[in-house]
Amino acid sequence: METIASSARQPGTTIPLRLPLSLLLSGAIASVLLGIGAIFVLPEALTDPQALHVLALVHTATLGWWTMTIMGAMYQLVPVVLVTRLRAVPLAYCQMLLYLIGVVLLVSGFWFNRIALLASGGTLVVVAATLFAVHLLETILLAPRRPLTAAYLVASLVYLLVVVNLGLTAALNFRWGFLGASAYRLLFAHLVVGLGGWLGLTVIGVSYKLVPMFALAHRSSERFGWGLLILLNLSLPGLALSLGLAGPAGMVDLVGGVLALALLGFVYDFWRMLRARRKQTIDVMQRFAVAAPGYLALGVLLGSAIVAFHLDDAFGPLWLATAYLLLMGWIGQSVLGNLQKIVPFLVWNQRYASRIGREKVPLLRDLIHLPTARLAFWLFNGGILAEAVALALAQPLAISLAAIPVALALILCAINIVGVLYR
Amino acid sequence: MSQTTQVTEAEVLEALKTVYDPELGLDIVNLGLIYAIELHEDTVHILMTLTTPGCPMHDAIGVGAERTLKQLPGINHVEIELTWDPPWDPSRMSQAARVALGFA
Repeated sequence: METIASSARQPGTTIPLRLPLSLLLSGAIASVLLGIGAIFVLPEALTDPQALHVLALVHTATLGWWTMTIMGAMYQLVPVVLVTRLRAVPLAYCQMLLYLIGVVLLVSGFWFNRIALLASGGTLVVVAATLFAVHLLETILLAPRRPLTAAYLVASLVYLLVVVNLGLTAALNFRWGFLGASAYRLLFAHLVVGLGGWLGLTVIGVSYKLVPMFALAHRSSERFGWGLLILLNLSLPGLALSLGLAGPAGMVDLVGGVLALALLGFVYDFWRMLRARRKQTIDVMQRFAVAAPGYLALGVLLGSAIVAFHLDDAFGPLWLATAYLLLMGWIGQSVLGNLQKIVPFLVWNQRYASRIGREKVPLLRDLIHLPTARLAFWLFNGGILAEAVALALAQPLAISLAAIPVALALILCAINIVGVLYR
Repeated sequence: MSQTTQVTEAEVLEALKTVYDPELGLDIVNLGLIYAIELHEDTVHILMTLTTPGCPMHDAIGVGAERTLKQLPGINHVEIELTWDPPWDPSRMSQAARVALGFA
């Protein structure tokens, strides 16, 4: 049993607001840049998916929007959820600074085709991501309790360590070309480890904590989630190695199939959590996170159909549509939903927590402008579906047009998140 | 539950109804988070839980309850004891809370 007394609450679990908030707001800015950039750059992906502007856009999303948001959220939530403390808060500030500078340099390096920026930015990102991963791994592993979410996060942090190093290797290969014809295989491994291992496992792990908490979905067993974790951690490295080392096609199909089943298993488990919820009304911020696994299912089924029926070549229009559904529909929308829950929580905790019992304080949802969030939800989802169709049909003009509602949604969400600070 | 001060358990419960879970918008009494109340002289001891272990509102709710109870006449000491045994279950909620959450 724990005793809460005014002089002895969970020591050290509260960290300065500016650490997570800086990362979360930087992530929101990156999301706006991504949204606007996609209108002009995304059509380029049809002709050359590895064009430098396309890579700049992709890394604005993965390293900018998503990873910055995840880092900010993990700095705040891991200590609270695991009832522990961050081991070294000053180190976290250093890490944040290195990471922000690194991402700006790296994306600029892609955009302006400057190898010096690419190499220096990539190196800073690797250093900062390593500091982050080691710091969080230590924090989690020394915590008194390690629930299912913590196990997912441990795995995802290990994938983060791998993916940034694969990425730096790929970036340096741009300049020196030491990988020769096998460069594209490294790219496939980088994609699998980054999208599936780092971002995917983080989103899944966080869902196992936040969905039951926000929707009051209490279940007696988490065994299914543990089973999925094992399957995912067998299939993800298996697929990355098979693709990266040019393994036999049968092996790629086998581990890819296991991965697809595990991801669909998560969608099923997510649906079970929602069915078990006691809070019937799903607020608009949660709607983003609830809609997201639908795109995961859609992306996995489309990808499986492409492989099974040989519908497309690598980086063809159907694969681009699949990647878009998984990246923006699942990962992006999950991040967007959780961002709109976490920022109000941080601000509320800083501003109002000490006033409970003294005066009437606002609820978390009072800090968000709900009509704006609702509009953003429909613009985002309409835009994502339209964009996936436009990519699949390889229509450049439609791709640009479909990117507009997505950009508007991201701008509205960013305004709403910044607005939380002033409510 | 014992009762040896001028404050009654009912008054303690009434006071705790002003402490809200800011995510759910429901007070901690109607949510069924209060397991036991013990009153002894100028001390009140509360055995309570939260809807989920590792709830980010852990400190805010616990300290809010403590602060609220200290405002009651004759209460100088407040002990808030947090337990996960038994874990909170939605069946502990009041009818009003069920209606508010839409599953009554």
